Amino acid sequence: MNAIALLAAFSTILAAGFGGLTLLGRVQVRNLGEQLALSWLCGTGIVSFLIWALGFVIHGVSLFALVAIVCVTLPFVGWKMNGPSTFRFQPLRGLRTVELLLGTLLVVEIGLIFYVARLHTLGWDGLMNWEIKARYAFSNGGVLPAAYFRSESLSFSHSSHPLAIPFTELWLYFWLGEANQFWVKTIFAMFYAAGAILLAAISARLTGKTSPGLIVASLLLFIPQIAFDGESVTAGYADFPLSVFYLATIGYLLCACRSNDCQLFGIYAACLALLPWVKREGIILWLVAAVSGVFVVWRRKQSPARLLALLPGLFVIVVWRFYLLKVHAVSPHEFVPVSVANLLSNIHRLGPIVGAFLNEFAQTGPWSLFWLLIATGCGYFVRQYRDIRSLVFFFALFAPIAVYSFIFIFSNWPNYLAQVALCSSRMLTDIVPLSCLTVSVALASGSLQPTGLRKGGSTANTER
Amino acid sequence: MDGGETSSEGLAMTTYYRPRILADNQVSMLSANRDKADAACRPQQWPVSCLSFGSKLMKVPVVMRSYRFHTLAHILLWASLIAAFICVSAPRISRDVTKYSIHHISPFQSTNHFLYLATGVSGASEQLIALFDSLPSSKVILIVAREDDPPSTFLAETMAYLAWPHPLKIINITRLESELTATDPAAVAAFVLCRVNRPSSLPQGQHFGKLLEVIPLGTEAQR
Repeated sequence: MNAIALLAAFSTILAAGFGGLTLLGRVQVRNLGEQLALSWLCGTGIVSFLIWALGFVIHGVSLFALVAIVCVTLPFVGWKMNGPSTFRFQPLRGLRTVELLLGTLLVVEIGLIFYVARLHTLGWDGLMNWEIKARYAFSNGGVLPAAYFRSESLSFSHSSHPLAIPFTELWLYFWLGEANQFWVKTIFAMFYAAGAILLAAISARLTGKTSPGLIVASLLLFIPQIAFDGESVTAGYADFPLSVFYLATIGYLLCACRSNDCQLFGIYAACLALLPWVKREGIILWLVAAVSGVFVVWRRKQSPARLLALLPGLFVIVVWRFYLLKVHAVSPHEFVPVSVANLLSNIHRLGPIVGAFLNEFAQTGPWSLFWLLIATGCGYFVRQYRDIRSLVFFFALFAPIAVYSFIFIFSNWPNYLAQVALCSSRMLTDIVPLSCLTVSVALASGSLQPTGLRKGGSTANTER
Repeated sequence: MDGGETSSEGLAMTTYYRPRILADNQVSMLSANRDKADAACRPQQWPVSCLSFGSKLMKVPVVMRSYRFHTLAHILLWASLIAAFICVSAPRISRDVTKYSIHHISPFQSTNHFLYLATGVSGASEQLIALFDSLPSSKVILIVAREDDPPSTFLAETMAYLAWPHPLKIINITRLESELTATDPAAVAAFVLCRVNRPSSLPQGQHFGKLLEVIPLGTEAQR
């Protein structure tokens, strides 16, 4: 019974995401896996935002039913707008044997993540930052009570974090009919699947070759911090889902750099809007991705109308801040207010903080040799893309880390380096899938078969 | 175009241009039936003689050999990097997979696991929720912990997680006395003591292991 409920919850999320994507514009023929991954990302955003927004007027069964109706309706609206091409996907016939084998390996790895998620418990933050909100909202008919935001004693659960993850969990609880710490972990395994598939898909679009992307996507499993660590995706932490949104945002922007494709830019805009809805750090990632988008529009002399893509994300940020003010949410105590006086008094911390972040890159415990691979791959990326894409990519890669480092200057912890040590690995997680593109570009630059020789349409959408 | 290169060996002393795509194609040219492939990727600037070697490796010009060397070096570099990456990760991953594994499935899988580690009691979440549910919902639950003891704080936060939707307050043991004098006893549903000793002023409560004690001050039924 639970499996059916789970299937229904996932199907409605995917339907909402699929419908939302089709509304972005005429559907370009996409790979089924890529479409599912994108639908998952957009679906979680749409469902969680709908639950929160509609929760102001209705709650309980009506809220659940209305959101479900919207989820089911969206694909039909998209179908009406775009015709039969809405449901047309790229066939797998053009894939070579090696690609099929790598694809199979990736599927097995995703299966392993689902299995391990079943065995592991939620991590501390997974339970106390995210699941707690879903549980409390579920016990209150789908609406987080204002008392929760105001409670000093519950401030450990970071009530000011946005609701994309908790309300996706809540959607699962609606279908299950109970709050359930066991089944909720499947959501994070779904994010892993979406991340791995998108990494392969974006790599293929960027390099024109499928195998390197599949190889890199398969390597994700071997990063302990990502896969099986106590703070990993199987422990219900939100950092990996955020990093998948960031990968999609910057990845599709890089693809749109070359082709001026409206739909790719539309996907960038959709994922950009959802960044601040996933986690508080998402605002920083939104800012970086927005600056990158503006830069691309300016340098490529694209229509200024594309800058409207920034508005949905801005809207999410403003509305959420306004809501927190309205419910008198307890402010987080981890940081002192950002001011010139505080900056000047704490500026001496910058060196040790940067040192601590650099030290984190060298940690083989959580990262193995991952950052060595990335450092090697960076050279290939620069050599391969001597244009705006390198600028955008490296800005998107390093700017978040620079901002994160800067923020710790305002740490309110007595031992600020302890806070850096606690958070740095999670913050680096935000750029992990994106940085993997360097490896796929490196692998593709030495690949054996040229793009133009591929059979079938498997590279039809590449953005070389 | 990446510019011209000159070969002193091979078919001819010819300056020819190496488009970027050639770097991707070098090995494919070594395979036997690649004529179609050659034609597809051949740039117009290339002399046909340089490309029509088919399977005859002897005719591969020096530049081609250089490409092959680069390809081989590239493959070796990345194969070693990836192999080293996997070798370093594998022990850690196999340890992590088993380290966090539990096979008990329940809606409270995680909190039960945490509470089992903290108190040694199995299925404590359900018992605690049943206890909290029996308390008047309008009254506050006071959770007492030690701020300087992380396990005590974690236990207190787990209690707060389970005690919802009761109004609740987490207080440090050092402030317990002042809190007791400031709080109307009639407004308190229960005290939860997390790794702290029970003050003599409070009656004995229900123990969950040695380190967690819940002192209900009046259940719904009693009320």
